[in-house]
Amino acid sequence: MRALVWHGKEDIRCESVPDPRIEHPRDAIIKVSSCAICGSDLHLYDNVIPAMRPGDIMGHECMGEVVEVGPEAKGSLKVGDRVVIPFTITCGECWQCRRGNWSLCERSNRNGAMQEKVFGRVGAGLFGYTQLTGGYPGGQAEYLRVPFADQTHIKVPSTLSDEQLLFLSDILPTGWQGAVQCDIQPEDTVAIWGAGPVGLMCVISAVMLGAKQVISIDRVPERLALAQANGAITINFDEESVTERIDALTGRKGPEKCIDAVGMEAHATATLDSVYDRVKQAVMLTSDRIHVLREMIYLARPGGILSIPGVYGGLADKFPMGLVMNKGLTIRTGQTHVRRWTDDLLRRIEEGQFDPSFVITHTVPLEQGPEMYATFRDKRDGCVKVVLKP
Amino acid sequence: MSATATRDRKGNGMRSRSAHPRRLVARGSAGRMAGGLGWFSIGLGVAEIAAARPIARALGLRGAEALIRAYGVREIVTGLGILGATDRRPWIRGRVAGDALDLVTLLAGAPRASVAGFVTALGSVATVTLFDLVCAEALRTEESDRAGSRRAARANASRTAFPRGVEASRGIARDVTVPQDVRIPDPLRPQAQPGLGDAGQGHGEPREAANDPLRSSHSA
Repeated sequence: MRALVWHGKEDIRCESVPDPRIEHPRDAIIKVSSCAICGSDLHLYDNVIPAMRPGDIMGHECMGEVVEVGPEAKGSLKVGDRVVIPFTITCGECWQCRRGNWSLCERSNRNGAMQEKVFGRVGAGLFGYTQLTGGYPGGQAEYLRVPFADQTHIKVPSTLSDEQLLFLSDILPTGWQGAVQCDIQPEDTVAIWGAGPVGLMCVISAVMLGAKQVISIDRVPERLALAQANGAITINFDEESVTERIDALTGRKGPEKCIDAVGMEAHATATLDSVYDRVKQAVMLTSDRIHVLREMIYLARPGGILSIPGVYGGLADKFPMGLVMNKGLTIRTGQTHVRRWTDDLLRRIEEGQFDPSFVITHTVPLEQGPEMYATFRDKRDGCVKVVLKP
Repeated sequence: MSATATRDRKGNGMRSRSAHPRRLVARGSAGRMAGGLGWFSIGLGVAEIAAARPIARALGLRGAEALIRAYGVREIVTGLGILGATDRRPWIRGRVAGDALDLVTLLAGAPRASVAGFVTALGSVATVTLFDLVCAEALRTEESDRAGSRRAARANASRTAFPRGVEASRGIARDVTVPQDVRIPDPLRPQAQPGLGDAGQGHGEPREAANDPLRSSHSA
């Protein structure tokens, strides 16, 4: 089969690889009908998250049709089922899964020992996202082996298009969780850093959850235009001061809720801390550039909540913990517990409350995937979200 | 798009790989780089005017002090042009042309110049020329990106997730059940204190503060 394969920094190739096969009775194989490039894939493309191995298959946002089912998964799946695959692999039986902490599944990361050395404790296995999270082949391919398939799937109806459903795999529940864990109240201002696909999902989630005011911060005009079209007040940080504008919008109180949909590769204008992060990252003295986190902590209303769906990979330097403590801020973060949210989100899509496909700007064959990584990373050609068709 | 495509080692499958060159200058940084070159230009111009004689001597250009001062004026004008212009591209291209003139002048004086002076000057001009060329290309790319962005932004201005419209959809999901573990625990939830005014959910503030025009509340 063809798949997008990681070979090194900025080196992703569309290659022929062996077809996946059932390796465990709970496995299933799906024929991928659509998959997407996620913003967090770009951290792998840029090689800022360690433990990718040349030959690893990329991708953790995909959907398709079940073509083969292991004997122990047959109770919940059958050949021909149309499914979206959550990016987190879940056993459904461990202590964390039983509590709905699907992204913290204690059994699905087959390289748990490796991850324990880095993070102390093990999170769930993920598709196509380094050896640390299990080294599972990803879904930017013609076929995907789904471990714990009886649990790791979302059945979807045939009445909706791939484009309406695909993002249930990651960015939609990620943006939703980012907003829901803010515990948004009707009088809240929610400020969202980053208007990429996850940031835009945060925007529509915050609007649907009834925030009084939603602010979207980015520098890319076409992304800010999407945020504005979906109910956000926008701030282009290349053109105006984020601090001054947020002060003006909140009567100098600060937003009650702040969401970081940027993560470890924050770009910024020539602020001192951004330059400092860049230099430290360049000489491998830090792994994460945390300008957005610092800005959120500085601007948030005391007593507020910071929600962090953006991906961080390791160590953060000059993190203003004193401000967090003295302002009484609450921080909520984590990989997305996809299955907590998908039933509700699928119902809302079916009812026509919203349609997440508005973020798609490029739909191309899988073979053009390597090119689209560069286009997406460099924000060329108005690129916001890429869907690949194997 | 220009992906390269070849057969893989066994000849049994297609391999494609990005051929997109990485930006030489980070997005949004070309303007700052141009500004830096503008200040450099002014500094160099002042130096050329103030020290025309020793520069001419070192470069084997005795008798050409007036020419060096003229070059200094050119540098200052170009620098001011870069710093003052909305569109910096023609001024940076002007710097590239000036670099070429500098190189020709240096070569003309080479037979009479000290080796050390000539090599130093040639290296410096070559380095600055490289920066100017990179900056010119980065400004060109950014302008092209900006034009694309403007087109895309216009197209995106009506792309919404909400078939019923944004305002009709605001709060449509207030019926969501927020899981207990991501709710603010009730004992920690801000509570309006008796006698201190109330803005619901504890976002109130003392009445006297709320009435203070200098402390107008956004949430009260």
